[in-house]
Amino acid sequence: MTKVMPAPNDKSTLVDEKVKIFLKSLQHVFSDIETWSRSIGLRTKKEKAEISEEMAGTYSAPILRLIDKQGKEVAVIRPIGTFIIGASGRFDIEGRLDRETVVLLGQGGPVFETSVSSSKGAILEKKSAPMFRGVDKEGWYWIESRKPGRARLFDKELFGDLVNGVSDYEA
Amino acid sequence: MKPDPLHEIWEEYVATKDCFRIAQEVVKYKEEKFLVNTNFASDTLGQAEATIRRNRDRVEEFFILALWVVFERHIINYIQIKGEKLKEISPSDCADSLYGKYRVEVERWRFTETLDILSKMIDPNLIGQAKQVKAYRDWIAHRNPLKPQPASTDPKSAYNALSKIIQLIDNKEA
Repeated sequence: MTKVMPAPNDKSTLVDEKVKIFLKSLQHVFSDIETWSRSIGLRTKKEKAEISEEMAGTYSAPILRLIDKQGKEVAVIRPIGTFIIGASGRFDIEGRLDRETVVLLGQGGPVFETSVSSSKGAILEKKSAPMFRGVDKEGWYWIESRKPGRARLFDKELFGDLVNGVSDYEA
Repeated sequence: MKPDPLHEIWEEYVATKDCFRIAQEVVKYKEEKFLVNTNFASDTLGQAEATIRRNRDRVEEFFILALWVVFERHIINYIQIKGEKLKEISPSDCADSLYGKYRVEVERWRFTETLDILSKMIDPNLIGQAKQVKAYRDWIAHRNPLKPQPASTDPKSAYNALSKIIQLIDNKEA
């Protein structure tokens, strides 16, 4: 059987497409973070950062600094990259006390197949199981630390909790 | 259900993260009785905070290494145990030395190829994730500035992927 080899630029197109999706998603979530920050008394300062990845090379992405009313930096929202193991992108929330990781997951999140085989090796049953519980739609998720198998959608309330957790900042 | 050999490392990681939080609070509020006899005693707040942050980042990498080491050992042990059938072949005076050779050689296999052996019983996507954790672990361990960073991970994601593989293997045995 003849193997059809992908055209040489197929891989780079796929990589570019993945980076594009990551940056677009980042743009949306950063816009939400800017709104949520204002509602808890923080202003934001956007800067540019460079991300270097083996697959995608170097590209630029926004970085957000969250600043309180006294002008003190409370936390930094730092994009980490597109090629993340088990996810399609990641940014971190870094504060004085800690750092939390938020990842981009497709609907249902990563899944894996399990199979039940007979003693002779025949597959009797195949099932798909999600890696994380709670990934109902495509979006940004925080994987719980105390229960690592559970993901929570990154929303306004979670954003406030994570900023508080990494910095002790309270609105 | 067998205990997850990675869970202990995960709990140690969570506890270590908490220790860094406590250290940041101690230096912020200049709790001097806790700072005596530490290298932080003569630091400015900025220096102390930066040191704690830098070490927190390094510790995350160390935990990925620790998770990998235990995972790798668990898989190698599993493959070695599966080969014990070799001890049952005849003639029996050849069986023990054949198994002895197998046991030693398994340790020397390229680990990515060892993982491939499991790819019929474990979802290849998960095996792929484990290989990516290995690539990241190698990058952390060797720190070659000429090599760009491969797909990145953090202790939480590495723990999730690796413990899932162990859990699936152990479930097959149950």
